[in-house]
Amino acid sequence: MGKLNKNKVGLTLVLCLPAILHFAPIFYLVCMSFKVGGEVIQYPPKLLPESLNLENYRAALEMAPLSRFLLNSVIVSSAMMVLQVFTSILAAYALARIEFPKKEWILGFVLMTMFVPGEVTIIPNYFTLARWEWLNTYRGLVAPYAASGFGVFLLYQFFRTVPKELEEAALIDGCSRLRFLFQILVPLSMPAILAFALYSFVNSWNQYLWPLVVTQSTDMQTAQIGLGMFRAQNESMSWGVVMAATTLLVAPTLLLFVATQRHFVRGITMSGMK
Amino acid sequence: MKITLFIFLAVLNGAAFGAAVMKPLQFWHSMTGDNGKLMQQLVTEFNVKNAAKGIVIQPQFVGTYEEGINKLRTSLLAKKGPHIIQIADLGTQVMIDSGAVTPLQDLAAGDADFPLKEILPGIRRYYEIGGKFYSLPFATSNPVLYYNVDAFQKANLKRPPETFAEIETYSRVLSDKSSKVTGITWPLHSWFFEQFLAIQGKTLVNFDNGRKQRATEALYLSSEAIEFVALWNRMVKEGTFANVGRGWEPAEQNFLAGRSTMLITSTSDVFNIIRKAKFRVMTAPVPKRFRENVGGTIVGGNSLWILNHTPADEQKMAYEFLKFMASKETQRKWHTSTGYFPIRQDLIAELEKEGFYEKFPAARTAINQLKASPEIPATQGALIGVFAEARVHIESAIERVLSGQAEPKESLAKAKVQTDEALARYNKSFSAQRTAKPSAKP
Repeated sequence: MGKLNKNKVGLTLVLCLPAILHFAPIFYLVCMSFKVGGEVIQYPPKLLPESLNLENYRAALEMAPLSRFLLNSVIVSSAMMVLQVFTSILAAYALARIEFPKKEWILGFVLMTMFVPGEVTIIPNYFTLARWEWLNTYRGLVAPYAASGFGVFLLYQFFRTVPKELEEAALIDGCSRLRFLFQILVPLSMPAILAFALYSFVNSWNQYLWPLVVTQSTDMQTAQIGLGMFRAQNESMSWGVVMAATTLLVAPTLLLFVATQRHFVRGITMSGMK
Repeated sequence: MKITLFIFLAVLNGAAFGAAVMKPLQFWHSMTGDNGKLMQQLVTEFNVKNAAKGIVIQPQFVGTYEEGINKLRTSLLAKKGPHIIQIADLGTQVMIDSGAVTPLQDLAAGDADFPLKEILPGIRRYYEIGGKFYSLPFATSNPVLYYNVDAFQKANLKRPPETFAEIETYSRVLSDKSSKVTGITWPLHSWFFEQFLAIQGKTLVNFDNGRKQRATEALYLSSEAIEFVALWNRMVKEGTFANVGRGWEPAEQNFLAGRSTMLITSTSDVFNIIRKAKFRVMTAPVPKRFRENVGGTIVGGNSLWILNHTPADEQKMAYEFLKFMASKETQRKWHTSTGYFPIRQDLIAELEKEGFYEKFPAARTAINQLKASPEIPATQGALIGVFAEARVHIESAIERVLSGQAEPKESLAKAKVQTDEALARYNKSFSAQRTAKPSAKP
């Protein structure tokens, strides 16, 4: 027991180093967000702000409708996450468990979508949505990303590790396929599903180009575009305000990750994917 | 309070009315930070004033100028583009070639109220193409030399440098290796290369900077160009120039933190710099190579374009908005809160009379410099379709020199080959397009 503890202490110490390295930028970001006036450009630079001044946050909220952007991002990212999880579960189940002709082809086709860079699809997607008059709407923002090849593959891998006998037993007892899927397979695969959900949420939260192209009014734009409003091109930037806005905009994903990271790590390691 | 409420209701009403009868006009811009906020205010003001006419402008931030152009390309394919778009100076030729715009001057024809005559000659030189304004120059600026007056006093320097040689000697005097203070800095941006060529009276590309006919050759190998890059390089190697890399921000921060005593950058930031600096700041014209050089600065910035894919009545409304943006009141607000200079001569005269420049002499330098720039192709600025690419070539060339990988001449020669190829490609694709669509003639 004593030896185990010692190992644990050693491991923790070793892991502290990368943890500090990864946390440092966020710490710096938050520190900068409280610096006002000349504090930011002070030389030699100091890490800690002189006081917890909320001036920058006030200025950031005043400069752009950040709360609206955050709301849009939450709506869009949540919708995208739910849709991707739902479609991935159904597709992955069919591919993993049901026998039908040309299945490998379909699986290959799904995998191939992972090799197509998103930028290539922007113009055709834009055309389609313009024809449907879906530009500048939440559905327009979400629709092209309602399914995910990565999600299908991740869950496909995971579903295949669940013993087939379980399903056969359930089917013999008169359980329908859908009921088996949602009452037995999904709860069993929760780690992988949660991991994918988190991945999908963060991904859509970080989207920039598609929301930029498809929105046509400020009240439909998302947080990432909002951040762009603070990025000066050839005028002087107020770093404190930029950092305050960034803090506000990264906070939701960061909190979500902290809350669910256990599942995230487990899901990724269990499915044998990186 | 009651009045505000009334105005608010009127706006809402107008917006609702406008939306029912006429959809709001899309205006895409790339203004960020304080300028973005000001742009928003100007649009709101316009909407309040024009609520009765049913004109509503809906502004949208579309990322950087490059991102804006890309978004425009995508949306025009589906005929969903904006009514008005703000485009950086370097996109001028591309916009004209696109055939997607209605020239401002066509819309202003017969409208004696439109202040085209009032536009400053220096700005007119850049934006009047083939005798015609295609767009409304909005935010315009040129580079100026900012200097730390306190540090100059301490070093017993009576006036700012006026020649290349003086830049070098001043920088040497003002540098202090022990406290890591350098004499001068400016961003590693192609804009400065272009400006310093113009100051020596040299064009960036052939055929009078592409104004007489489409440019086919980049003139990066003039002795003036090579000498400028060599000067830059010498100062970096000597440690009297702070090379803080690409991007506008680091050079300015370096100056504001007192780590460089002089800074060459756009005048558009003059009020910001004065406000933020903890020392006295003054501006001076950009030094010439030799006092007798006949040359001057080029205007930079952006202009507002009206697109031709929307119905004529909507374009007319968009034109009303441009008229508002060119008005004296709007220009005054824009100039006095940003530092970009006004596009109107009558406004400058007015401000001069009010004593505005007595209070802010640093803001006057850019205007004087603009007025003093001679009427030659070099100060008109280059008009090429591949400006964005050319800038990458130039910046990479300078970077290679400053990092010690190449000599100025060979490095610029490489950039020239690259830009020449890009020009040839662009011209070829354009002439093919023109035979198919004769209406797109510039």
